[in-house]
Amino acid sequence: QGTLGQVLQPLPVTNAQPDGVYSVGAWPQYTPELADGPGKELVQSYCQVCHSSTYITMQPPLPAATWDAEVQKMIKTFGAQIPDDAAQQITAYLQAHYTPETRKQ
Amino acid sequence: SQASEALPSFTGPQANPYWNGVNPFVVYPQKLPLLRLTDRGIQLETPRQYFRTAFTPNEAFFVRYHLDLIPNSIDLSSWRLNIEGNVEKPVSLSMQDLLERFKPVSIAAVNQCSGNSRSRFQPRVPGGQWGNGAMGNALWTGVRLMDLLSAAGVKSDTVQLQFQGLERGPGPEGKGSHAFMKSLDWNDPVLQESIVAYQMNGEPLPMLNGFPVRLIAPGKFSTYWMKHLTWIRALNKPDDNFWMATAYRIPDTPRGNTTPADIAAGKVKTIPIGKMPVRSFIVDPDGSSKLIAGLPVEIRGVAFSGYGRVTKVEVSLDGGKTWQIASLGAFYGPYSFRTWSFQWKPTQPGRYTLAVRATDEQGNVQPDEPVWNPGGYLWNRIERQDVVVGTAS
Ligand code: HEC
Repeated sequence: QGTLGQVLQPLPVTNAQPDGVYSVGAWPQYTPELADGPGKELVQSYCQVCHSSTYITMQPPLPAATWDAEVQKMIKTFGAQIPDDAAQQITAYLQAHYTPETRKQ
Repeated sequence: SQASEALPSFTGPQANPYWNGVNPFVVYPQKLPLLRLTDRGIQLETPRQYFRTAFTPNEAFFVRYHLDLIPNSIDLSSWRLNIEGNVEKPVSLSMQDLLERFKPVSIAAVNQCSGNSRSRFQPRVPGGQWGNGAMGNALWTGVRLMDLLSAAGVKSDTVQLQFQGLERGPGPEGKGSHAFMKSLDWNDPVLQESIVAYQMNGEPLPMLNGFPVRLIAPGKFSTYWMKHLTWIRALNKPDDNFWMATAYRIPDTPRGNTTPADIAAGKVKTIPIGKMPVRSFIVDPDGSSKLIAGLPVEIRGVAFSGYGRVTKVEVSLDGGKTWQIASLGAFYGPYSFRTWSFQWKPTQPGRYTLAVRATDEQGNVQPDEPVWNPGGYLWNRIERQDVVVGTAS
């Protein structure tokens, strides 16, 4: 996790060499917790291959059909490798926690 | 003043009522605390207060990546800008070549994400839930795109130019999750005005804004402003990669407007997104503190259009029923933010809804109707700000 809320002051580049390499620090991560419930581990293992699960928590509450379409889009359009059974459980998890009727956090 | 309790962690299913998205402040290299949309794919929104000036500070400039594999170190001894594809003579240019062999030019231009203000959409659509802060204005300095292309000699049957940077993802090759590429038509007039910029507000580009160089396509949405630009490819047939053929497309209708029903019926023809419609924003007052009856206040903000210079900004003190002319700040070029201000002395205590609308040189005026399309693009409805005026005694 990154240093949430702590302002990093500009650090003098005293250690840098006057060569052609231009570097900054590692990219920090700020990933919120997913809601607890069946299917959470599947989401963590299959949906974080390409991006963090922050892509899920960032969304507004989306209708159940939209979550189904999102999971299908990840598989068909973006090439996510997810077995049918796991995909169904992931969709059910998203629908159980991230629709207008179900979203709490 | 600030919220004393944390805002909710999300908004919806109604529209986001806040100026910015309701995301947490986070810290990234070379950046002040910004609002985090996503952290792997990095997407950061600029807080409202940084739009008081015509030029947005580099440290506060918004960040929008699509994919997760982006550089945090670049070695200019091996990095090259490659111009290839349908050209007479492919060229590979070092930063030193860009600095020494080509004349530098500067242009002030607004960089705005296609999905800026997406969180206003009703019904809400998936995607980055930006408030109004996925935009910024900078003075960009670099080399004319056309000067670079003449060094390579683009062949006459070229139909598009494709731009690719160092942004990559772990998805399979051939999919949009593997590489990010965008193309512009070879006959698009924007190419004449485009530059490959190595400077932003007089400094090297921050890594997260595209170090060492990015494309500047004045008037167009940021999707074309390729960061870490490394390949420019002349194409003799249209680009059919995901980011052109499927993503960043708008309905071919007035204002890019459509309905969920027409989309579901499959009736909507789409075209690639292009220029930014005219917009204006109220930066101050932000409604978080009361104003005092009898004490003058400056209502101020920024305006811009991708269709040419902003010629008029009007302010309303009654929620859009009547309008008065605001004064415009300095002119930095047709694609820059233009600051505006309006002196107001509220005499009566009460609740007021301020509103602002801009007009550009082509006569486009901001509408009061929302727009809807499934991508969440092209929002430019009139902005409002509620304020409370208290008594002075
Ligand atoms: C093979 C790569 C890959 C995998 C695996 C993947 N995604 Fe994505 N996802 C993407 C890409 C690429 C985007 C677009 C990112 C952008 O434009 O910022 C995206 C975007 C999203 C979005 C934002 C809305 C949108 O459509 O752009 C959501 C929500 C999302 N993914 C959820 C998921 C879920 C849930 C899973 C697991 C079932 C998943 N993703 C697995 C590649 C992937």
